[in-house]
Amino acid sequence: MPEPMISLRNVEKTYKTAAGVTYVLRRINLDIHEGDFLTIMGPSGAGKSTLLSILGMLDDNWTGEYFFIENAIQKLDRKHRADLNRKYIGFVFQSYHLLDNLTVYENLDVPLSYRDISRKQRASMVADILDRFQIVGKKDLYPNQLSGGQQQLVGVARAVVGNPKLILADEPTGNLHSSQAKEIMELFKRLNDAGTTIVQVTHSEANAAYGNRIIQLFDGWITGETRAGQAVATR
Amino acid sequence: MVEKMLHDVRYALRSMRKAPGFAAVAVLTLALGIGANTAIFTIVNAVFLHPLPVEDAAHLVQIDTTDVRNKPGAGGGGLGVSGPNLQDIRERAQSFSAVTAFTFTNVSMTVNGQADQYTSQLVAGNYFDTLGVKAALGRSFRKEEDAELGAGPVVVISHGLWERKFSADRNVIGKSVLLNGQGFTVIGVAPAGFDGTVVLGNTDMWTLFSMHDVLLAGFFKQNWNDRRFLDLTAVGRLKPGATLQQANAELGAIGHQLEHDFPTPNKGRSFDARPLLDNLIGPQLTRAAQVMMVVVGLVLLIACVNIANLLLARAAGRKREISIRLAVGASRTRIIAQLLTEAVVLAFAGGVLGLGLAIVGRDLLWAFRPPFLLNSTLDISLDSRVLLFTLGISIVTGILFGLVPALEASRPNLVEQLKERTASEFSGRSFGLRGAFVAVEFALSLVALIGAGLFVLSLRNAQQIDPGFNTENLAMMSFNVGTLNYDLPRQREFQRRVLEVAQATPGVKAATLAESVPLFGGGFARSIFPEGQDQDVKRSGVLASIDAVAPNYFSEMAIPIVRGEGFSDSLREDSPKVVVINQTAARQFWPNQEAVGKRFRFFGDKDWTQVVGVARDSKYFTLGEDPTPYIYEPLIQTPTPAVSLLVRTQQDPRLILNTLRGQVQALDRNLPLTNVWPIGEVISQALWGARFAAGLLGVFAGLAVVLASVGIYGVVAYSVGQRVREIGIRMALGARPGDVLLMILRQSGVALGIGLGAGLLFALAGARALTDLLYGVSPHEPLPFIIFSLVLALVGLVASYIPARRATRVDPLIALRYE
Repeated sequence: MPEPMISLRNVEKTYKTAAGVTYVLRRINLDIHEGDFLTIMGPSGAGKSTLLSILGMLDDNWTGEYFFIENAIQKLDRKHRADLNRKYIGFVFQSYHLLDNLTVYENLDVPLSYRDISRKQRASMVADILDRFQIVGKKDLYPNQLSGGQQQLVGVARAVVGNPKLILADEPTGNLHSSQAKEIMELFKRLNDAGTTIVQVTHSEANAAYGNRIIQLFDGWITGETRAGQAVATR
Repeated sequence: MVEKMLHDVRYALRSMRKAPGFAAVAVLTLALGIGANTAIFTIVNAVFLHPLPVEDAAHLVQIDTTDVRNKPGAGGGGLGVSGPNLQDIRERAQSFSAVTAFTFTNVSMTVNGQADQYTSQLVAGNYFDTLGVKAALGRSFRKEEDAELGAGPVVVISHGLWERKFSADRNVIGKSVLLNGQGFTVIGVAPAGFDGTVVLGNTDMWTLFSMHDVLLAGFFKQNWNDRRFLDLTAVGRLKPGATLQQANAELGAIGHQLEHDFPTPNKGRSFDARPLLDNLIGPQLTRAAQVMMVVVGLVLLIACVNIANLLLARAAGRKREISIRLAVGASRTRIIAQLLTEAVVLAFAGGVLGLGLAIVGRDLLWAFRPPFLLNSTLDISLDSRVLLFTLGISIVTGILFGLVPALEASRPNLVEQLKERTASEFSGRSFGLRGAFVAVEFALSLVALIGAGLFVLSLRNAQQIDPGFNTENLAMMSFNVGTLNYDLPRQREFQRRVLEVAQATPGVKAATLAESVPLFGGGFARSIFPEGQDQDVKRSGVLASIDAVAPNYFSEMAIPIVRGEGFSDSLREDSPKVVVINQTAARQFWPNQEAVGKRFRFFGDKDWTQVVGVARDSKYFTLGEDPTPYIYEPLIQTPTPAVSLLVRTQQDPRLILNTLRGQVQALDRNLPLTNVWPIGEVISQALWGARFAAGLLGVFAGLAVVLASVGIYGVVAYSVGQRVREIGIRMALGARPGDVLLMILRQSGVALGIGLGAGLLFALAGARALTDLLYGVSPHEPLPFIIFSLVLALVGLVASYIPARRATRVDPLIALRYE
C-alpha cells in the first residue's frame, strides 16, 4: 500500500468559551490516499466543515499531527502551509463565492494570479479550462448573469484551473436543484477518474454515492466509515 | 413643511446621539475647516470689508499727480499732490464739493513732562468736514484755524491715544500739550475706529497745515510750498450728480493749465482721480488675502470631502433603514431632504464649534501681526457679517458634503439590489465614488502644500537675500531734533555729540549717522536733471531716492565704493555739492559712461551736484525689491534734523542698547529716542510678510494633509471592512498576505495617482497667481511640485497601509462561515 496523501493523527480542535472548553473535533485519525473520493457526512455541527478547513490548511488552530504529501503540517508556519495550499489544493464552496465584480474569465484567473505563473501561461490555462468546462461563451459574463448551476460550474472550474492534486468541496451542490447537482457530481467523478483526489462534505446520500469512501462525523468524533459498500465501525 | 423640517432636525439630532463617535469626528473636522475660514475671514472682514468710517465713502476720490517720467510705486500708491497745486485744484475744480488733504509726520508730544514720539496726520482745515466725521468728544477743526500760518495750535487726538495716554479722561478737552515743544490745545477726540482714510494705519492725532512750521522739519518744512513737492494725499468729495469721468476730465484740463502756467515744476504732470475705496489696500495685500482665503477654502473642501466619505460609509450601513422608508412610501426627495438635514445639522454643530476655534485662531493671528499694526484700531470683532459668513458656509458646507451621499443612498435601483442581498458589497463602485473623493482630497492637499512650499522657498530666499550691507551686530536709534526746534548750528552740534558719545560707549566699535536706515522704510525721492540731458524723458526729471549720510557711513556699513570715492571728512557745508550714487543710478542716468565726475541738478537747485563715487547696490526699502536708483548726499551739505544713529557693536547689540540710550538721552532729556532696534530685528520685520505667509500657509497645508490622510485611511478601512468576504475567498484561493496588501494599496494608489495628477495640474495653473508675492521663486519652481507629490504619495500610502495591513489578517475561514 503506498503512503497516504493525507494522514491525520489525533487531530483535535477546541474552542474556549465562558462555559469551558468546547470540542469541535476529537481524536481524528484519518488516511486519504491519492485517487480517493472521500465524502464526509454527518449532522449540522458535527465538525464537517471544520475538518475540511483543516485539510485545506485554512485553519491553524488545532492539535495533533497532519501529514500532507510527506509534509508535517503541524510543524509548518502559516506561509508554508499557504504555499502547500496554493500548490496542491482547490476549493469549491457551497455559495460558489465567485467575485461579483469580476467576469467569469477573471474569476478563473484569480487563483492563478497568486501563483508564479506568467500572464501568457495563465491565459492559456484559463482558455483551456473554459474549453474543458464548455463555458467559453460565458467568459465575459458576470456571476450575477449566470444561473446557480452555471456559477458552481465556474466555481469548480476555478478550483481545478491550477491542476490541484486535491479538491475540497464544501456542500458543492447545497444551493442547486437536483439536475444541476447531478451535473456537478458527474464532473467531480470525471475529475476523480482522471486522478484528482476529492474530499467533499455533503448531506446527500446520492452525492456520497459518487465517491469510494464515506466517513461519518458526530459531535466531533469519526463514528463510522463505509468503503465501497461495506461498513467498518471505528468506535 | 416647517413641521417636516423640525421632524428631520429632531431625527438628525437623535441619529447624532446614536452614533457619537461619527458625530464627534464629523463635527471636529468641520469645526477645523469652518474655524480656519472664519478666522481668516474675520481679518479680511476687518481689513477689506469694513466700511470706511466716513460719510458716504462712495463719493470720495483720491486725487494723484501723474507724471510722464515717473510711474507710481510698486505698491500701487499714486504720486501725491503738492500744496500749491492742491490750492489751485480747490479753486478751479467744479466737480467737487470739497477737496482736502493730509500727510503724515512724527511729532514729539510732552504730557506731564514726559516726551514721546507719536504719529500725526497733518491735515487741511476742512479734513473732518469733507469726510463727514464728527468728533466723539469735543470738536474738530474750524476753518479759521487753518486760515494762516500759526493760526491753529490745536489737536484732535485719536480714540486709541485718548484711552492709552489720557486714560479716557473726558476732561482732556481744553488740556494743553507740548507738540515739538510748542503748546497745543486738545480740542477733540476722534471716534473709535477712525484712522483717517487709511485702513492699516496708525494715527495718534490730527494737526493742521497752518502749524506745519512747528510740526515739520528739514526738507519737508523747506519745501512745503514747493509746487513740485508731492507730499500731500488729496481726497475730494464729488458733488451730487458729478461722475468720476467728469471729475477726471476736469482734473486733466486743470493739469494742462497748471503745466502751462508753471511749466518748470509741472512739466509732464497732470492729475487723476480714483475712487478712494479702490485705493485703500495695496494689490499685494489684496492678493495675499485672496491666497489665504483660497487655502482655507481648500481646507474646508477637504473637510467636506472627508465627511461626505464618512456619510457614504454610513449610508451603506443605513441602506436597510432607507429601503424600509422607501418601501413604506417615502419619496426619494423626502429621503434626500432628511439626509441633507442631517448633514446641515452636523455642519451647523461644526460651525458653532468652528466659531470658538476661529476666536482662538483670530487672536493668534492678531498676536502675530506686524509691528506697524501694534496700535492699530482695526476692529477684528466677530460682527454680524462674520457670524453670517460662518452660518452661510456651515449651510453650504452641509449641503456640499451631504448631497452626494444623500443622492447615492437614496438611489432606488441600489435599494432594489440591497433587498436581494446579493454579494454586492463586493461592488467596485463603492470604492469608485469614495476613491474619487480621496482623489479630490489629495488634489486639494497638493495644491495647498505646493502653495505653502513656494512660500517657504520664498521665505528662505528672502532670508538669503544679501541686503548689501553688513547687518552683523548693528543697531539703530532714531531721533529728530526738529521736534525740539533746534536751529541748524545746534542741530549739527547735537548730531556730532551723539556720534562722539556713541563711539565712546564701551562695546561700540563704530558709529555713523544716516537720514534713512535701509529696510526700515521712510525716506523720500527727488527729481534728477542730469547735465546735458534736458530733453531725455527717460533720464531727466526722474525721481530717485535720497539719503543723507555721515562721511564714514560707507565704511561702517560695509557698502563698498566701486568707483570714485566716498565723502571726505574735510567736506564743508559750502564746498561744491557732491553725492555718491549707487550702481543702478549710474546705469540709469549715464548708461555706458563713467558716472564719476558727471553733474546733475536736483529740482529747484541752482547749483550743480557732482557725482564723486559709485557705491555698490544694496536693498533700501524691501529685501525683494528690484535694483533701484539711490543717491547719498553728505549730511554736512544736506542737514536734516531727523536722523538715525547706527552703531556697530562688539557683541550682540542688545547688550549695550540701554546704556547707549541712556548716554544719548543724557544729551537732551526732552528728546524722544525712537526705533531703538538691533538691525536683525529690522530685517526680521522686513521679512514679516514672507514669514507670516509661509507659517500660516504651512499650518493650513499641514491641516489639509492631516485631513486628507484621515480621509484615505477612513476610505481604505471602510473598503477593507466591506471586502472581508472577498479577501477571505481570495486567501482561500491562495492569495498571500502580500497579494492582499498589494490589491488594497493598488486601489488607493490609483485614487492617489489621479488625485496627485489633478493636483499638479491645478497647482501649475494656480501658482501663477502667486508670482508677485514670492521672493525670487518662480511659481513653477519644480522642487515643491516634485517633493510634495512624493510626500503626499507616501503619506497616502502609509495611511492606506495601516488598514490594508489589517486586511492581510483576515481569516480565510470567514469565507467559509458565510455558507
